[in-house]
Amino acid sequence: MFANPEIPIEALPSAEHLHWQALDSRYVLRLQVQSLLLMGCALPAVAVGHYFLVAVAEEDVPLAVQLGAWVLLGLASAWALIWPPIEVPKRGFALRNQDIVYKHGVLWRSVKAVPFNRVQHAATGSGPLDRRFGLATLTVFTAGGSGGDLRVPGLNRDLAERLRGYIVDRVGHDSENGDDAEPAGAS
Amino acid sequence: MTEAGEQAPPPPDAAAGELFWQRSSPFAALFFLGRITKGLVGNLQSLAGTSVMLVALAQKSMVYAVLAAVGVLAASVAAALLRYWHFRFHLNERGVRIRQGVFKKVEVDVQFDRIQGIHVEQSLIYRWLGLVTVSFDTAGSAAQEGHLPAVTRQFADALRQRVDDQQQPAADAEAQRRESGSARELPLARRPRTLLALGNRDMLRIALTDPSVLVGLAFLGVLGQYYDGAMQDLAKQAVQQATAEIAASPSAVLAVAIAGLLLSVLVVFLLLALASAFLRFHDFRLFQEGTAFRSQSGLLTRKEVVVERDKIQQLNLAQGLPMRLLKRYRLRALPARSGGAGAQGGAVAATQALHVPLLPGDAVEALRTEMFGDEGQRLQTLPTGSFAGISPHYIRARVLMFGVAPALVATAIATAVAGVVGLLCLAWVVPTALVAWQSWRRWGYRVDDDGLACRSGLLGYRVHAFLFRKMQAVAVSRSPMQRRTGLATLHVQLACGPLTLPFIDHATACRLRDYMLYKAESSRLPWH
Repeated sequence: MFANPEIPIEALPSAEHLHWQALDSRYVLRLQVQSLLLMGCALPAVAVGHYFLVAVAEEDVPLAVQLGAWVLLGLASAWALIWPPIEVPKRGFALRNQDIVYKHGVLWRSVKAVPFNRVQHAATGSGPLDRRFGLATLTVFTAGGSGGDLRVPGLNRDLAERLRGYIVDRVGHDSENGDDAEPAGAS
Repeated sequence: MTEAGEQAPPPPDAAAGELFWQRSSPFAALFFLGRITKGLVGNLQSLAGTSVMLVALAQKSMVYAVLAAVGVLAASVAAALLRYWHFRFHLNERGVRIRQGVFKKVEVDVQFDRIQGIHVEQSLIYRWLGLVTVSFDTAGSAAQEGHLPAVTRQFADALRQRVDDQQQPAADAEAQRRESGSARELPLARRPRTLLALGNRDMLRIALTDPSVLVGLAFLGVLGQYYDGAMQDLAKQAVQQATAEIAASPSAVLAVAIAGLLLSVLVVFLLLALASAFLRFHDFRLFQEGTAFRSQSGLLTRKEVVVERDKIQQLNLAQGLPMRLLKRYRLRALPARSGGAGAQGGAVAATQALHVPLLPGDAVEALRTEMFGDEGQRLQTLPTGSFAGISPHYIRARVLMFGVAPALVATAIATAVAGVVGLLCLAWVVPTALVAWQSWRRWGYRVDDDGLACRSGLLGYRVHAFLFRKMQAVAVSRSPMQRRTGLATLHVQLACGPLTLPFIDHATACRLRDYMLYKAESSRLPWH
């Protein structure tokens, strides 16, 4: 029996106030470690630069110039330690019956939703650092190019795999039902 | 030609046993030669390398240079012939398989029901030979599109018929399922119906609204200032020696020469624009065949684009300043983009889109109704309609970002270098404010039950219209300032590119997003 009850706009489910699932708590540490590793690589470069600046220059180099790079490096390191604990709790995702929603951002905030029936495929990936922390990134691809992709980083690896499986299942299931518009004689 | 004449779609059962791989006409080598030449010319490095080599050789001996040039040409021809020889295709019920590549074999499988649009191109040489080049657009697969060069016209028509047949049951079934009890009759009339035809006067209009003519006019304006001075000299001299032979005086000759130069520049720009309009859009025709839209145009190379109605993701309407004076619009119907990122409204997809270069306002509305079907009936796309504006905070944000911030940095640097004069840099804020104000006036949106039309522009207008159910992903974002003022920016991702609606009410943005999600998730129609 075909039923088509009218839906009041106000009664539509809102993607604003959801029970957001937080990312894995180890993701904070992972981001900090990554930034500190980068700083660790920059450290010798700054040291060598400083040495040459002092050794090659004919006259005295002002102290401010000498210390400038070190101060910048220190500030960047401090930022790398302080920022992830502030930023990561602001990220979160929510799985709804029909779509997946992801929010992020501290100052510039964004909430993005991708319906399952628009998903082309889903993938999980984890770099060496991710693997060390048992994390993975879930990416949901749509036909809209890179701007339409939903990327949820810092998930527990098991959870990411389960989510991917669920989404791929949903996509297959939906297209089975939805594709009956396709010609039956095609096969 | 005789080889081409032999081509025919193979009987359907030919695919049963061994695959029936066919070659296209040897004239396909011309197509490959064209692509190789394009590749050589398009690749600056190889072009520069070749020309440097040629010049170096020419200095040594002309004979070597000619030999080298002939060598390059011969190599290109040989490569084209090789590529032709290794190009085979196989047609079956569900699609076309194309096998090509001399060293690296590439096989592309183009499924009929995945095809977004078909392009048929006929260059001058091919027209004499009765051949065409068929190209397919497929969504999703990254830039892996198929070309069938140098096949007969009949073959192309038969191919299109097959694609239509493959897609038609889907379209019909879908049409039946459309719940609105509108009077769309089934089965659909498949006879082509001409929607629009452009004549020679329209070519002139296209040429007049061509941006290159504007560039020419600006160039003229600059030259005109010098010309004024010369003109005054001429007048003085004419008074001084009223009876004397003006043409003989050097200043008069100069002035006449400049006037001639200016005029010829304008004429050249106009002629170029006119030639380009004729080359691209001569005898432009737009047909509707069942649920498909087909456009034909071109003077030497006839180009044909076919897009199924259901494959259209977005309608782009544009009206530049010259177009406004002529009360005409330009319309693009964008199908899903195949790979790659693009600008707002899918600028990359321009070559794949169904492009109507010039049409009056009432034709816009008629076309929009045809292309959106039963949906979006009240989704008026003409920019003159009533559009809900965006918040004036948009101006403040734009001025802060593009006006005040750069002006302060520039002023700081300029005052440090040049003193008080540097404060002049602050004047930069004024034009940016004017631009921000003007573009704020242009921004607007219009919503109906099925879709959204979004207007923007500066001097002219741009309107992007789409149906909610075609949406791929949607996001609502807020900057700190937007959070303070209760505003938000809506980002909609379509299969043809992104669309942004800035500085609307946060509650409105959320409602639009939720409604859009509802429409996309509850729709049982295929989005492509």
